[in-house]
Amino acid sequence: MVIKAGLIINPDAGKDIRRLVSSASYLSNFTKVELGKRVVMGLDAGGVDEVLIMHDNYGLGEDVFTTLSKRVSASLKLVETRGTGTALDTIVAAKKMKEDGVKAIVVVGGDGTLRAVFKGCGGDVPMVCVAAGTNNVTGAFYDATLVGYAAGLVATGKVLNDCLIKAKSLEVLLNGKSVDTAVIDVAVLKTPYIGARAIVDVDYLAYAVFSKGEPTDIGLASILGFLRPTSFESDLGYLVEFGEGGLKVRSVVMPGEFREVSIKSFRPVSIGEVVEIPQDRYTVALDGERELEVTKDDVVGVKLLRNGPLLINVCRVLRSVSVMGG
Amino acid sequence: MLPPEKLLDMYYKMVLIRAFEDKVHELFAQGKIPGFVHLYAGEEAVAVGVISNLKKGDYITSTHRGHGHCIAMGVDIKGMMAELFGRKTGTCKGKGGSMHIADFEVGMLGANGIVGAGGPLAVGAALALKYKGTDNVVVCFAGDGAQNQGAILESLNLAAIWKLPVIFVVEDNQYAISLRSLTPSKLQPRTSTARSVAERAVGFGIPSVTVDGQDVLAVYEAAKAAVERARRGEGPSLLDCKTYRYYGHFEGDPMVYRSVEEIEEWRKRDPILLFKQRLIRDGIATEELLEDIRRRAVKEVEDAVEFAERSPYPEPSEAYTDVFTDPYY
Repeated sequence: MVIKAGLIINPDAGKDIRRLVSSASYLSNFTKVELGKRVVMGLDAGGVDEVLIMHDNYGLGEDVFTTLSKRVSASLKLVETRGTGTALDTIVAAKKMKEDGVKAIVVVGGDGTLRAVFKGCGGDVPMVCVAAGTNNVTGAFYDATLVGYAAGLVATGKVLNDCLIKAKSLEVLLNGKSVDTAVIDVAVLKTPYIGARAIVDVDYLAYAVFSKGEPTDIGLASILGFLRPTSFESDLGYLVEFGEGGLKVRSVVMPGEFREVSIKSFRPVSIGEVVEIPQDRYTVALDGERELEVTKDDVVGVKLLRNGPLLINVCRVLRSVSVMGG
Repeated sequence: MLPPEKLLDMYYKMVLIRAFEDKVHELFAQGKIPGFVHLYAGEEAVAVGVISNLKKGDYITSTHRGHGHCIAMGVDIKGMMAELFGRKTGTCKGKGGSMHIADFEVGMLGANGIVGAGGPLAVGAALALKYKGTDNVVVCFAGDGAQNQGAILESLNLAAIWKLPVIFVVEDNQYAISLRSLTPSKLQPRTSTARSVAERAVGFGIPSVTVDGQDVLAVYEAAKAAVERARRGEGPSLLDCKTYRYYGHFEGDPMVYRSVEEIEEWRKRDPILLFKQRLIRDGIATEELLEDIRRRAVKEVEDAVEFAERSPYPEPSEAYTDVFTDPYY
């Protein structure tokens, strides 16, 4: 049986407006190619027979493909997309990879990229993200070689399932109909348009539903992290209403940027529960990026689910294959 | 959040640019406009989104495709049209034509027939502003092809080391003349190894962002952040705006390098159409009001054509005036 794994490099990850309003760093495409190469070498070392690489518009995946084709044992194959230059390419690539039977997917990108991969292939294919975005709540801050190696070990079945974390997800409902999904947070903002997408001003926050938030996270998840730390493993999420009259939470909403966020109220949300957001002319942000514009007549609902991405715990995988046992 | 009157003014400027360019396309085909013409239709969200953040005392430098920048900056369109017709009443007395319109009164330092030549002008103007101690800024518009010109690279370097208030706006309309700025394969020619011009700025220590150049509010937000940091003295930045031109590189270009389907695909995300839908949806304007605004723009362009056609050509004796600074010439 041919063991396959996927590699998706997002050329647009880590390039948004937060470079102008915070100390967010810019990860060049050249660096992403090098990260991709390390991932492939790691997958190869982990025993993967074939690596499927997304053929992106910028040719980053193609660079990895042409450079390593004769240097690794695994065979490499490019996966074509629609070439839209949007998240749709990632979604299509992840879907094709799943259909082609990959046992793991490594993503070079941020939380937005991981969300797109999850939308494409669902929660059954183990995945891991090499942190290359802005906030990287789901990203692994390990060398890409080791991330690839861990994913390779998972793909070849050399490690146990306890090396995987089943994350939660947040289904977004518009007038009762499912329209999108997020992994970490769904925020509702008092801004009428999507604009430059990333959330840069917390004063516009009206509500947010979180599936996860740790004090070690950057971005909106930092708010929950410093309010009520919640892991992916926990069966609870949280609904937070922003505004004066309650707690103040010091959070890191962008790299280098501390903000005192006013919390009017908050409460836990159970798996399966649908939270309805009071109506107004809002923008809905998924995992930190404004994606949907809604009118006063629309009813926005958010449902917490257990069917999120199957995330690879890199440290746990690598410890489990240590010579004397982890 | 932007007030409704500001949003409607932005819409008006976008439709005025489109009406102007569509009319010039028509007039050029009729042989009424001499010289070369490069049209901006399709890229309106970039000029309007960026320039809507500027104030009195700010400057812009432009390109060979400069009509949109001129209109967004407030250059009188009667003078512009007369300039295209080579008439005495033109913005530059009919001697510059499409590629050399300049109007210092409104901060427009000039369209430019030389690709990338606006960079050094922008840096020079920004150095002057910094020297004077104002909080004014300079916007340097340039295309994706221009990013491979030495003048632009030198400008990025000087702006960075002198921490000048310049916003480099890259209008990546997908083509450097006929060569794609981006292709999914190395087997096809590309114009740059950097793949994204935003990458270039990083090499000079200049923060850069990639923006949806079809969404005027996305451009506005990113430009606002860039302009504010420049006004605070935090130095230059670069906006990489992904957009598309509907007409050829120049009028008369047979466009064999791209398909009709590709153009139609981009037209589905037409910047004016997207903005119009948003304004109606958000209750800022009705369909009727926006149609009135469009009609007003078309009428203004027709008036400009009439003005240009009635205007005289410059006298032969004027051939040597406003050309050289040395009186001996």
